[in-house]
Amino acid sequence: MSRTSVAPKAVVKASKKKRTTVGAISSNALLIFIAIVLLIPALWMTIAPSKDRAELVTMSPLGFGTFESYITRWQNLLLYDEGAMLRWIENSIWYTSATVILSTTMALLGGFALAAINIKFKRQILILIMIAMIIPTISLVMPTFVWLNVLGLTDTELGLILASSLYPFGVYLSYIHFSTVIPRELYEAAKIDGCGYFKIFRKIAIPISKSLVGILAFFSFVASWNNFFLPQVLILSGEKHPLSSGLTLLFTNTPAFSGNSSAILPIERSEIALSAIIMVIPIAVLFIVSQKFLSRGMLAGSVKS
Amino acid sequence: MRQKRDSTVAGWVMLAPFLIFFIVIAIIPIIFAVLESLRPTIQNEAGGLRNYLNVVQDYRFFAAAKNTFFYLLIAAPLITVVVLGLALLLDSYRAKWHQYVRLAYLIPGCYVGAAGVLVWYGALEPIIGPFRSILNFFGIESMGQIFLPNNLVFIFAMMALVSNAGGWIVVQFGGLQEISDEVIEAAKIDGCSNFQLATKIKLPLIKKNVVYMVVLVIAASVQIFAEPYIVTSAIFRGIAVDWSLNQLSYSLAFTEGDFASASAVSIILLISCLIPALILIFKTKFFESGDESK
Repeated sequence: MSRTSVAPKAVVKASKKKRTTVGAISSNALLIFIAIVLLIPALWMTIAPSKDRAELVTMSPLGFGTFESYITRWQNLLLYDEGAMLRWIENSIWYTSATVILSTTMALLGGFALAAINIKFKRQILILIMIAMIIPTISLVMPTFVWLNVLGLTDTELGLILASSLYPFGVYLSYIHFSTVIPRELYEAAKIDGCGYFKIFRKIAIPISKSLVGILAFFSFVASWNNFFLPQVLILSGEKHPLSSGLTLLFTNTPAFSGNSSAILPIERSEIALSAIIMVIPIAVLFIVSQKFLSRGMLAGSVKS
Repeated sequence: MRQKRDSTVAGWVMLAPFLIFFIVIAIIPIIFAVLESLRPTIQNEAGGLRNYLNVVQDYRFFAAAKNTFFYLLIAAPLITVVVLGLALLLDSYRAKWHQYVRLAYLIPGCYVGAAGVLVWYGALEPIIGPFRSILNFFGIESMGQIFLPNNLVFIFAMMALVSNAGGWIVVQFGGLQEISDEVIEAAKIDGCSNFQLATKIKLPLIKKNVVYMVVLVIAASVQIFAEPYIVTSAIFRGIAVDWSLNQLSYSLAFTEGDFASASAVSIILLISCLIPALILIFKTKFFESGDESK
């Protein structure tokens, strides 16, 4: 895997080595500089709720206020629309879990069927799936609204969960996985032993594909948790919003950005920062935990080897 | 024979949930949106394709299309160049601690929508933001000096870069690691410099991944909605009303109740994403390994 360890050192001439060192130092400096610049605004947002309105201005931007301040900010946030924050969090958890379970299950079953079983129109179905995975889901939002309106499912949890659960990328990913990772002979052998496809799926394919299940759930979770346009269009009543579209309501309906300090609600930029942190934490934790999976999953299209 | 039929039935049963979903959540909505887009409007009582002409001639359509197009023109090359540059640097000078650098690049990808806009608000804020001394040094004392209508396209492109680059760097870096050591060593023995190695050997070898990324970035850019919508409705009221085509579609539907025109705009957007998708699949053979039937 590592290229440097097998490099024959003698080949690299001394002068070249020197140049490489200069190159390495300046490249690494650049890489680190960019990382720091990217992390500073995130750090600022994380620290902002530790300070009140005045301290945000008077203290150093990255200076830390107090831990108690986070609690005060949280209590202030709860004043908005009788604790709407809590309902949004609850909704986000519920919508996202339902979507992850539904979309991952369908992706696993569909991908397995396409990989293990010779069905008619397989090629055509795969092409459809590929088209669907390239077109951003956002382009289907308005059509979905028009259609769910006909069904009377706008502004319903069911409508939002169903519309979020379309996961062609997941089907493709598990198709690639099941047709490369699991040798075809295994399917044949299991079949000869009188194992039905559902049994192969449950007893063999899934148990040896834990990483696939993880990747599928990961991408589905991130997409559903962060989805903004879909709930923004489908959800009309305040109490049904998830965090993503709820926060936009909060940003719009509080004095945080209008600068109008005489407004009734004590929701300022510190409170807004806390609300954003709450939205980001689950995703950030997931990113950090599953960084290693990411490249494998996102490269699905070309890793068939 | 019997067994074959059983297996086919099992295959369709397993595929059915997704296929039914696909038809109900993607195909039927598109058909309905097409039908809706042809319905009579206040301007055009006859309905039909004339709706598309009307919507394209709407003065807001041209402005939104122009914004969306310039945004695409800036964001797509910017993301491509930065991602490839950084991925190649990470690949050329490998170090164990780079995993933390890659993680740092991924972090901004967590901030999307409202949270993403807030982080950018902070980064560009000259009074409370973390870069205030730098901004003040350049004479920027208020947000109004940065959030000008003409700057928006650059701000949104930067947002897209910062939130998407990390994920794509991980992808392209992964692709670069797949290149075999022998190829790299052979090139080095032939006297290839690091730069030549990157442009003449590595990039051509990961061409497929690059094309895949460019197509996905283009398709996503065309659909920009969240950032301009949140900026104009929450941060600087009215600065980016109907700035992108998706915003226009949204306004047509929810402020004017004109679902026919809104659907027409969304169908135009859908087609403009469908074209790169079809090119990717049928012209570049990106997925050729995937659609072979065994």
